[in-house]
Amino acid sequence: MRLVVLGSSSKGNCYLLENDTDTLIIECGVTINEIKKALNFSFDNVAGCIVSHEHGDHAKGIVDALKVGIEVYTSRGTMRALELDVRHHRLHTIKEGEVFNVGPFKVMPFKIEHDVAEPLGFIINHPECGNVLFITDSYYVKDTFKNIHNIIIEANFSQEIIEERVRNGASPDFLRNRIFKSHMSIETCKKTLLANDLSKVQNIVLIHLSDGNSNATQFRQIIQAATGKRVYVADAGDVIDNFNKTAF
Amino acid sequence: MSEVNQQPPAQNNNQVAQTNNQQVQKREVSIVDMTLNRIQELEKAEAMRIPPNYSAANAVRAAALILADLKDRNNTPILNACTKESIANALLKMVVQGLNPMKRQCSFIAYGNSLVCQREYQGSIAVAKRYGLKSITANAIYDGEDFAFQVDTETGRRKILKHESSFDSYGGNVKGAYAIIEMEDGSKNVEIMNMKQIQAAWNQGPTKGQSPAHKNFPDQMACKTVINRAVKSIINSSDDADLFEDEPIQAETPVTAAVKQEIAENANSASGSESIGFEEEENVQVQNHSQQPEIEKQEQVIEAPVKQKTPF
Repeated sequence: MRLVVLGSSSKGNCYLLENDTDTLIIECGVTINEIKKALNFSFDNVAGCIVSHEHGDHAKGIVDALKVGIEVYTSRGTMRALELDVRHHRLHTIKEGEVFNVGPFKVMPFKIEHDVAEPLGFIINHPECGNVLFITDSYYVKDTFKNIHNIIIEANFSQEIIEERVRNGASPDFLRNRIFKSHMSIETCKKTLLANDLSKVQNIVLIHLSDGNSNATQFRQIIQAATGKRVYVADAGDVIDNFNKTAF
Repeated sequence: MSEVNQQPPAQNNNQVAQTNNQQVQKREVSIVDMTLNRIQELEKAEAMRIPPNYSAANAVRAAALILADLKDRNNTPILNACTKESIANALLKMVVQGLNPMKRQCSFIAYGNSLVCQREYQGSIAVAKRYGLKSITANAIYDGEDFAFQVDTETGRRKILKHESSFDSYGGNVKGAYAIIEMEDGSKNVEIMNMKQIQAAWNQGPTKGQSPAHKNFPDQMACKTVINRAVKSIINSSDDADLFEDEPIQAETPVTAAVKQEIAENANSASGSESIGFEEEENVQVQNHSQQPEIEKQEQVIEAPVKQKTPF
């Protein structure tokens, strides 16, 4: 399988988990045109789209995605916050701890910590990529996870960099406080990874790095040094091949 | 200064001295407190930054002790002779530059009723060190010594080719001085002045190079002059980076502290439950949303019967 990154920042988040026959769209924070282009203008393989929460950089494409016939799965809280019609025939309500199928993908949502109505993280299962842990926009997670083969996790900011920017006046205090209570720092990201059994993990993809408060090279090194795994920093346009359950 | 002018003229010397002394002490205290309060205000409002590793309070109190003993040319205590504002400004100037008067990094000079803080050459070195100066060494060149330098035509930097000194020549008539600067980034530069240039610099000063210090220790004064010239361009061309570096991380705000505690207590430790996730070998039956019963489309989705709880 491969992971295609259409966006991984506060400008927009969208990832395609796909092989030649199946595509799962994770997050819908880019325009439908960008998704169309990435799919080579064919929705034939798309099983559906899962959305973590209602913020525009994760959900702004939902209405158009529904219009072009994509099945969208998100929490009731997210639907209400987006003022979507919960009875829409392609809109599916998902809940923390309740597993559902999206075509060949099995998805287990779990609760994450963000300043929105009902945010969710996902464990996604597919025979080819094994179990993929997806966490974004969560300043920490309460759960630990088992049998994980690939990880896509937020590393939004560095406490050090953000403190520095507040001191220099480059970033206001209130914004720092908001980020602290809604996004995952590289420090928490590292602790979260190490709190789990990583023995089966093939790839770790760091996502949603803040423009000003992060340092991609440094973050990659920190996680690589801590975990010894293959670590990527997601950037719009990236394609990560070999996103599989096994190394070969 | 008003208080000086208001001195009663017809008192005996003893009384005048006593009154002066009391006034000096009183002013010393009030000016110190005033200045420290002002510094705190400015810092709080982030209108001023004090260099790291510098205690403004210590420097201001040290300055107050020095000022209490200083007298102007009319033998009037400086604290009485100078205006409150000029004293406060001089102290503020000292603090902004991060200078310590006890280490002779600056001196206070009364011009009429106005007190001025003047940076001394040790102070210049101290400030230049904050801007990346690693070390500076100065030597005087005496008559009879063989001294040669060249200018690198690419960088314009000077380099000393030789300075051959002998014990006989050492301490003789000074014909010049040079200072070698080494910066933290490894770059080096040399500042060289001959006696004519040094004398020209001295002529800018009030004593025109005729003070006892200049007459008795011309080599040391020459070194001082060349050091001053060498560090001047480092200081005056610097940004304020030193004020922003190596500062301890700002005290936690209540929000960030609470968040860190919350993370420490709750992260990755869902109480009493096991790790969640799919089993290695999957044969799990799960609901298929694409075949949801019609009831799903209504508000009772939450009670939909086919849902399973996980972990399973």
